[in-house]
Amino acid sequence: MSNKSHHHEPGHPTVGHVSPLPQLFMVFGALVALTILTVALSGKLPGASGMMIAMGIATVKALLVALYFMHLRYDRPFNGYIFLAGILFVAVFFGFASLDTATYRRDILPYEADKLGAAGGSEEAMYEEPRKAYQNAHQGKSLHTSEAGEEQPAAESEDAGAAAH
Amino acid sequence: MSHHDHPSHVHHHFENEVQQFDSDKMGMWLFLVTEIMIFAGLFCAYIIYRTHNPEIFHYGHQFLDKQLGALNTLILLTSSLTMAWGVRAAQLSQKKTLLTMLALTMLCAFGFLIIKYFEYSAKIHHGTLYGDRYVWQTDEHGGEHGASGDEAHSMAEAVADAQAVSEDAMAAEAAGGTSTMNASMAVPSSQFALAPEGPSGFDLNAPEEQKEAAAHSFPQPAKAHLFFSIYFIMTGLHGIHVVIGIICIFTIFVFSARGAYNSTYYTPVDLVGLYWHLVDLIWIYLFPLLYLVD
Repeated sequence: MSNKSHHHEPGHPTVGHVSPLPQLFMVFGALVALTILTVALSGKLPGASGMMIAMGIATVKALLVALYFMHLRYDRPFNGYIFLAGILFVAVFFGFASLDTATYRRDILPYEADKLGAAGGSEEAMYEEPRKAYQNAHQGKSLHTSEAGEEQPAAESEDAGAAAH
Repeated sequence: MSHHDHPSHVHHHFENEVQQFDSDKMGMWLFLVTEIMIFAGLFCAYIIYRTHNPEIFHYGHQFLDKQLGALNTLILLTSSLTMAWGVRAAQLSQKKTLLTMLALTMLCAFGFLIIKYFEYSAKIHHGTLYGDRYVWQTDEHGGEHGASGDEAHSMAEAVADAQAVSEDAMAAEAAGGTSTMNASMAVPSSQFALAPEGPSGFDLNAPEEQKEAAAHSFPQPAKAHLFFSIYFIMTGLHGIHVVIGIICIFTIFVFSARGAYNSTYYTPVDLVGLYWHLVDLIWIYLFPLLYLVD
């Protein structure tokens, strides 16, 4: 560890690690290449795999930044432990917060399962049905408010009325 | 350790400069972890809203400009390189290189903010800002985007169109009608300008009218503003960090110009560098999460 090294070359620091320029350039090149890769892959992978691969690429990029640009690889290990402990607690946070997300799956499954099968497995077609449902709901509401205003809160009918006139 | 061994930049409560440097750096890492915690709350909101409403994210991200996002990513990565190079220059007492690198880093940071400004103003103009969603309800009170006669007319037309289209599909309303729709959602999707990288399935080389028609046929899910709220808050907090980063870099730039840093003492440059890299690190996750939703 350079922190402990006691060679006192003139113009060389007594503490910290000096990154060689070629290493900085190589890390930068890798970061740019991974950015291009993640943009090129976006929208081309099926289902959830696209986001998982994008997150994987982002994590590799984050590791490169942390290990080399932030010197963690050459730093006191304790700083790395602090960082990892932070990430660990973020993971605990995300994990507990996501515990009940499956509870709401039944609202999503209708178009993730049924529509995927009905639409012949295409993701685009899978989203077509909920899109239609949402649009119809929104249009239906406009229809109601502009004609009768039944079952609508007063503020909403007022607004829709104002928009239509 | 005798007193004359104590260099002037080492505070008296530290044994030596190694201990001081390690303490400073550890303190910075603890601070960076608290920063990660701040952003973790927002990432958590993203995760929960996305798992509950995947269609909103699928819809919303298509109005973000993927190319501008990628360009901003490259700009931030470049600024990280120049910052790391600047730290190296400070460590090696290369004052000129240090000043150049700090200046380049600030230049990149401003470039990032300028691009962000154009993205934000386009989005605000198109009414995707959370608060703006409600302007439709307060148009008569003369909001900034208050509907002119023409706009009100086109709204009426849009509603009429919508009625015509939905007549044979009213059965589907039973399913969707219970969702938390409100009248502010009555903005036809044609109110949005499309990012150059259009929604998937669009023929990008198609003539403009065809693209317009395609945009019109792309229905807007309920609560679409959720995506844009998360987008604005996450990128906004990140943008604030970029501004703070610029202020910090400018400060050490001024001190560097006065010759405050050299190989015996460069800690502030190192710590500002760590801060700047964290800003980059957070953007590395924000970019695919917001711009490249699959």
